[in-house]
Amino acid sequence: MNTLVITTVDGIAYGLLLAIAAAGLTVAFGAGGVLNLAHGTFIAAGGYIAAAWTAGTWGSLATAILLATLAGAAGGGVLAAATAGLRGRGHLDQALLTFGIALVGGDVLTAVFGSDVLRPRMPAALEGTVAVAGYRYPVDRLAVLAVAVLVAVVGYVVLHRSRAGRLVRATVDDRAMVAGVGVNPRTVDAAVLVASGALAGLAGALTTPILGVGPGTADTALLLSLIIVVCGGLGSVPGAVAAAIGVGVVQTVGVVTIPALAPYLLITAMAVVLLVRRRPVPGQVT
Amino acid sequence: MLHTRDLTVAYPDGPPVLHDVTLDLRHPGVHALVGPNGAGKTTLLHTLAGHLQPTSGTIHLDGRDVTGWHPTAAARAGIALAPQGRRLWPSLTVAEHFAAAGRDETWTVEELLDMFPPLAARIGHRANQLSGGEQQMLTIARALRTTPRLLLADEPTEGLAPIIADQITTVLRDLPTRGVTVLAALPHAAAAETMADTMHVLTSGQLDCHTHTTAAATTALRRHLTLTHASDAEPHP
Repeated sequence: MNTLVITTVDGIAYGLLLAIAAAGLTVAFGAGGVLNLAHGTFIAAGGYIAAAWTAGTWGSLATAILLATLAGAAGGGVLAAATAGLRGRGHLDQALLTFGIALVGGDVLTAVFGSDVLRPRMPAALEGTVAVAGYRYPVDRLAVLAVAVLVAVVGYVVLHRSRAGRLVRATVDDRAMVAGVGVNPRTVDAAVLVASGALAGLAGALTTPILGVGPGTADTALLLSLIIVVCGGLGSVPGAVAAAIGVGVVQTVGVVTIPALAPYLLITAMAVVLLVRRRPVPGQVT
Repeated sequence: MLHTRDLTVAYPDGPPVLHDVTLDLRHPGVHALVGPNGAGKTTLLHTLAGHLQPTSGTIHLDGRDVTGWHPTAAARAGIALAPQGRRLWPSLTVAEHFAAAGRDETWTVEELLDMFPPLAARIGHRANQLSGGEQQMLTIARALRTTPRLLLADEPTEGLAPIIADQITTVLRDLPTRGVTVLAALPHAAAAETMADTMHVLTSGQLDCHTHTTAAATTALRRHLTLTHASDAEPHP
């Protein structure tokens, strides 16, 4: 019982991290129609920066998280500039371009950081365990869970309480009418890609203490993000959050309870969701 | 305030939908664009709002050439479109429509809710939860939040209960007192009579006549229908 509870909390924490990563991907697709296959590379870049920059102090940890977020934002900016000229040419051109960026970016990361799996050096206070409701739980994971919840809340507030967030949601619904109120939807597209990249970098930095970062991180992160975006409904942030938590729990609980079937559980769950779900989820691009 | 000269518009790989449309709108005032379905009313409004590019001709707003401007620039120049089908943002609430569209406080939320009282009770509801009449009110209110000089209203009373249509007609009639000129596309002259100062009859993509009277507009529409039927009845060689 103890193991299952901790594993489930692990799954939720992991799911929230995935949600931070996938929310940007789904909004970028919903608002600007950009299918960003370089998203996993941004996540890996954030992870590498966190692993390389941390030195066991709070200052280095904060700087690493900030740098990872900025690097992701810069990547999003490059992507916005690169895809701006491809508008109206269909998803295949964008997918090929972003896939190319992912391949080049992946090679650059391996050349710079090597092919070993790296982990950050966390401050001593985040090592060890703490008792929560009678269970021992790793402090670093609890901290990651807290930060993930905070980022999710801030993201919700920005999307629902700020004019910028409302314009992003309006662009997902009907971009021509956003132009009709005097706001250029291409500016919204670019802002979304920058924010999406920043969230990817941040998610990469936050995931590294749990999973580490290596040559396979980008592919795994992209695959999981795409599963979340598809299951949650293209363009839907609430759907992405729900799907991400589902993916996180299925992944972690599956590995502990039925390890032999763990690799197939996620794909099976995705197939079931797609078969069962008939109606679009809120905000989904239809 | 709005002047188009020889405006011709065609969709890609298609014949022109509008031919040499020359239109002069006095400011402020309410003007009706009257014509049957397929006459090109929506095409003209979407071209004026920048959503379609003319193949030839010019559009001037307050003396400034706005021909071919992007909808963003047209909106900033003071042209707002309340489109047919409403085109609201279904996942946004009424309040969020006001917040997203508001460029300044020339038209405050309180003023707009006074203008359209049913929206006050629905302020927290999403657009797709509103009735047809409430959606039309929100469409016009959203357009006004952009502080327009020219409001293009495409069939603003289409499909509405008479009492709601009357409310919307009253609002549109009063807008010139706030410095907003209205160009409303309407299917027939009777609807235009209660709303507009002048009527511009559009048939088969061409402006047929400019008139102040329903009788003249109706005559022009009937003449067009008679010619169309006669043309259809002629045996093809």
